[in-house]
Amino acid sequence: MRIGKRVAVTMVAAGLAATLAACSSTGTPESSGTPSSSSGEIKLEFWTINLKEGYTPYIDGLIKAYEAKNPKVKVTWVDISDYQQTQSRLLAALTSGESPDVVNVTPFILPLLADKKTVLPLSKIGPTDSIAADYTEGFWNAGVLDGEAYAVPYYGSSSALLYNKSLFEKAGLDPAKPPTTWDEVFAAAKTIHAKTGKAGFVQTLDDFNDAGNTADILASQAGVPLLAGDNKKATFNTPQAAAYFDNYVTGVKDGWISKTSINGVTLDGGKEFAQGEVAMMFNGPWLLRWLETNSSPEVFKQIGLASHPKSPTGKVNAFLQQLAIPAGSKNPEQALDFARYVSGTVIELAKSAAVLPTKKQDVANPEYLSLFGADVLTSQPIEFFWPKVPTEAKLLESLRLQMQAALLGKKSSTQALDDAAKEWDAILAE
Amino acid sequence: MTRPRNGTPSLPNESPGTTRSADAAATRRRRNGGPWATAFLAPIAILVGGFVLYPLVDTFQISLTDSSGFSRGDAVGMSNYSELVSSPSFRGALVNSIWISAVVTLVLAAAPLPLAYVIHQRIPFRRFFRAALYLPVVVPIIVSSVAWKFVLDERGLANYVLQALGLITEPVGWLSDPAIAIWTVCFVIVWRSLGIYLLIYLSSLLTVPDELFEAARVDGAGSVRTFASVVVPLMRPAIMLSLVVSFASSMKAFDEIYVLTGGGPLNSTKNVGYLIWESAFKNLEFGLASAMAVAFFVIVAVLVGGLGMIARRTT
Repeated sequence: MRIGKRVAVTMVAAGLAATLAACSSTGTPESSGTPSSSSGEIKLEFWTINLKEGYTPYIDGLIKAYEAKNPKVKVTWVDISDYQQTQSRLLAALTSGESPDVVNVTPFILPLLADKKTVLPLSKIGPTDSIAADYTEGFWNAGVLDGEAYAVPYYGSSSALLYNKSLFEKAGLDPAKPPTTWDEVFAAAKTIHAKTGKAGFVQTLDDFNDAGNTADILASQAGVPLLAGDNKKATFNTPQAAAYFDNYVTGVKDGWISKTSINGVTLDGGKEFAQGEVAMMFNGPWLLRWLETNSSPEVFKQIGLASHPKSPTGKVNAFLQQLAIPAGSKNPEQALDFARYVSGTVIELAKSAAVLPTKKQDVANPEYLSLFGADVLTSQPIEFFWPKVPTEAKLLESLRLQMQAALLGKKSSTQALDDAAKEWDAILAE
Repeated sequence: MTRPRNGTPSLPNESPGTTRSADAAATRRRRNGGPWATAFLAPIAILVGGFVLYPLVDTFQISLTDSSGFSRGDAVGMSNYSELVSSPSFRGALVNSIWISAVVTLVLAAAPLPLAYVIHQRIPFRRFFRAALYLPVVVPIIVSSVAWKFVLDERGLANYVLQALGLITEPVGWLSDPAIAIWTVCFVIVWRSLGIYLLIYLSSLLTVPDELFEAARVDGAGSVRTFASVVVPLMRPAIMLSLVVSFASSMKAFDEIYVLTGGGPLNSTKNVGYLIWESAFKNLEFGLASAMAVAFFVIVAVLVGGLGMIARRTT
């Protein structure tokens, strides 16, 4: 019995030790992450968003080239398939002490990450003036929060008009002359619906889109600023904004705007467009790559690309991928150097998908300008219309719900915008 | 000679006093399982402690802070809980959770029973039906939800077929109408889970002696009467098990909602699980999300406990 007890106690102790060992993190933030080895090798972990499928040769190539230029650096690439997972994956990585060194983020999540001090202000790593001078001003400023730059712009896009030439023809419209203003868009959509029974366009209310989000409808299309200068008060509940949004309410009710706009996400709209059920959508030309694999050849060859309809602001909403350096990086200087290097490889990426480089010299590069979609992307003055505050996700969700209520006929546009403005003021006061 | 519950007789001892104390010690050992049993239970006890109890305690601790997830945050007392009490979002999500669970639980307790009874009969293609009804269980939830999203889209297959059959004139907003979307979510959860409960009922039916069916048949009972008077009363324990399990499981629904509706439209399908995810990972309000999780845990525990008590009394 004594022997039995001893064995039992030993087993319990061993089990406890093994479990604790398994449960404990693999190291503390100080001792883990991406440490440099004693041989002087610098390890960098690089996270991208959804670039594995189709872009692996590009990423592998840039890493190989960087490592060749910097023999002591070894880069490990991790791709996150869904942009919404970036925050949770980063959270898990940082709390377990396994911080990446360079993370692909978007302007949607950067303010919150910066507010929680999980990404480094670039000025903490080195002087930023010379870095800023390399990039297009609009793209650089998207990463500047309260005067501090938190990210290097990677690649961007501005919204354009994608349209189905066949549906235009069937509706008696000239496919060579797509709409150039929002009034023309609404008129064309009505005609298309009346003549073909298809929806004129789809404009979802999610955050992902280059243009089709709540902020874009009000700030870019209607030309109504979202926030007062100090970012503490909502300013979009104006008669002008309500009157403009009434077009959407009427369009959804009458069927010339797809009902998917109410609760769908960008790619839901993309699917309808790919099926030839919708005549227009407003996205960056990068979506053409997705459309090519998700629509029939007959539909795809009917897709036209044109400049985004003009808005009162004279600018189009931009979308951006950025590279930030997490606070847990063990090699922030090298990480920043790598991030700057990566942002200079966008012409290579643009050969596969129509995206906009963020470096001034690349935008003017003849090689880039000869690529598909470059003319549309470079000809449009861009602006970021999203509120650059840490509570951005909450604000846009609040606006989305109120706009949904108006689209569903639960309240008037005026009431919806008033209610959203009240909610914004409360959120901003938190 | 004492005869313990396991039926192994113990040998008589010389002294009655010693016999009693030795027997008592032996009984205690047998009841406690002895050191070996402790040793074998230890790993699982440690795992439960590490992965269930510790997270529970830690979640409660985090719920008393303003943690963003990246750090432990500062103590804020019960303010997260008081925020919940006055939060229309939490109330709405809780109502949605209970609504979805009530519908799903009732359907999953009732619908598979007649199906199991029919499949239990020697009907043609019974293996095919059994496999077909179980198939959704083994398909990953995300995959099936994406497929359903295609089918139930405004311009999806469901509306196309219904319009072609002349059953509807306008497309139904299965996912875009707030009054319908919650029913759609319930339907997809039921479709995905039905096979599990069918299996529970089928295995339970196998324990019913054939003589009872035979006796019912001799007494002139038809299929319906046999189902009502023989099957249902005998299946009561299985029905109660299904009620409790499906209720607890549907209260945790997340994947279908995430893929199908994103909690919309107008928050009509946003349940507590989705709200917790949104607060924690989208808004980085881990303190508040933890408070929701703790409050929800208590509510679910009370409801499931109540349901379990009713189940025990009924059976």
